[in-house]
Amino acid sequence: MSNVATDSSQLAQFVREAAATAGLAIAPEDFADVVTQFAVLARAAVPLMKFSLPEDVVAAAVFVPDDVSQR
Amino acid sequence: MTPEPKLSAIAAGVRSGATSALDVTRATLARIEDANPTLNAFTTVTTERALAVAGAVDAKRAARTDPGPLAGVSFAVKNLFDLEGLPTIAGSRIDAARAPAKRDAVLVRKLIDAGAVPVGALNMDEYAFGFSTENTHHGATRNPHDPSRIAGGSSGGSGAAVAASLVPLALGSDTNGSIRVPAAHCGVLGLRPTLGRLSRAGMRLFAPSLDVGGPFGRSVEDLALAYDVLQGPDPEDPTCSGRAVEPVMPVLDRGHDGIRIAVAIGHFASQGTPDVFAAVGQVAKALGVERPVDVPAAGIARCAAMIMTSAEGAELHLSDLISKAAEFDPMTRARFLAGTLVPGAWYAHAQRFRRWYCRQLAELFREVDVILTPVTPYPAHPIGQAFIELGGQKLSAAGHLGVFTQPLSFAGLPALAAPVVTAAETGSLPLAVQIVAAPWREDLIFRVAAAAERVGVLATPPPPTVRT
Repeated sequence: MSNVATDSSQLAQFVREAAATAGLAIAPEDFADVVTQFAVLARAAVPLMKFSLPEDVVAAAVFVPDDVSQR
Repeated sequence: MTPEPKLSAIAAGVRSGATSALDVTRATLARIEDANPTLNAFTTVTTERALAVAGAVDAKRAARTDPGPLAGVSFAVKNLFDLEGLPTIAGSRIDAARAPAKRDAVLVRKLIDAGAVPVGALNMDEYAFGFSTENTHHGATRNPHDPSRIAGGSSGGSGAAVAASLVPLALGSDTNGSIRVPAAHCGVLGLRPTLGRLSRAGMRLFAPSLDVGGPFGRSVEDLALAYDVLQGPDPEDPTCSGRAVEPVMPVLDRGHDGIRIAVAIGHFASQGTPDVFAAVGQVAKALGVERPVDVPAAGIARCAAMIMTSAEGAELHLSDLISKAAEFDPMTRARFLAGTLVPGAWYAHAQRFRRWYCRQLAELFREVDVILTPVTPYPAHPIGQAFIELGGQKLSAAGHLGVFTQPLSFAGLPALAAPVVTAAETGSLPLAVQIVAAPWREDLIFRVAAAAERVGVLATPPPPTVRT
């Protein structure tokens, strides 16, 4: 989980391919800025993804009865 | 210098007939006309509507009907709140083409129902994605204390308008610090309530799992009065809690005895300039607080907040990013585009981390009730400054502004930014303290803030003279 790439050429390749997959046409003049911004996120992801969490920590929603009369 | 009148005093004057809502509103509109060309806090001034609403307040009084606790109080809102008859532009050019709002946002309605008078919409970073209100479409909002500097963001128009006393009350929104940062930079109070406390109906969202609306004001009492009016369940907003109103006005005089207050260390005691830490220390000293507290994994929480914000913000705007990316503000375009590419595993891990982090904070709040931290890592920087050197690191000057706010809002905590009366020479730039409590304990925040105000360590600086 902790092998987040931060190398700029790897990030540029990811941005190019992920954008194409998502149907996102990044204008050539914006491309370098998008890679820069994605690098900011990748740097944030490094410590986050290294942070190991117990298996019982889940993000599942908790559903409770919605008693509209209480609103 | 005569202090600015409190909201309660304005309303008392209107309710008693000593003045009229129309006179108050005309004076507000004149101040805006005078100073806004310099500050660029307002994107729209709703003169006609303001005079009509003020006239209705006066008519109520003439008919011996109570015009409300905010009778005649002028207010303005960040331009992501719906105002009937105006397109809700959220700092963008794209949304200016949307149909005008059919009715006011719920928080706007609550203020009007309490007698307040809407005078306009305020500038912000496009779609709230920023901390500086340097908006390419609508221009940068300038800090009233030094117009060459930013007002903070993304609710920069709200902070500047209240700091310059163009209005005594404003609404903003806070995802990662967007109320607290401009409040700190402009030297006013700004409250981020617990996520779920206030209705978001009629608010253009940025990152829905983090966004809240909240008030800006010039004193603890003003903020408390407005906050009490804004509270309450809302069937139009499923994220708004069904909790009954828990008014804070009655607790302002209770003092801070018995409240376990601590000063945050670790993450919250580095990555800033000495003056911001000294300001927090000054508040702690004035309140007799010596206890330190370390918020666990706060730095990771900030990272997770960045990932979630980017992904959620990009998802909300995905169709526009695909079809008309060129129409986004160059200040936000690359950030939104990058957000569309966040891997699912990063987002999912950030969500799981939040669950763990909230548990840790729940444990921490068994030991302390209120935490003091800085709001921003440095005072307002010059408009256009891209980077700042700090501790040998070259950082994004605006991007780093959320370092102390993001880890707290990430857990949905309520937090207040309030200006500190400092002895330090920092030019004319305000410094602030962040007062934080467990979810739903805004009452403790207000008690501590009121106590700090009483001992003179917390106060809004007088509005600077701003003329065009």
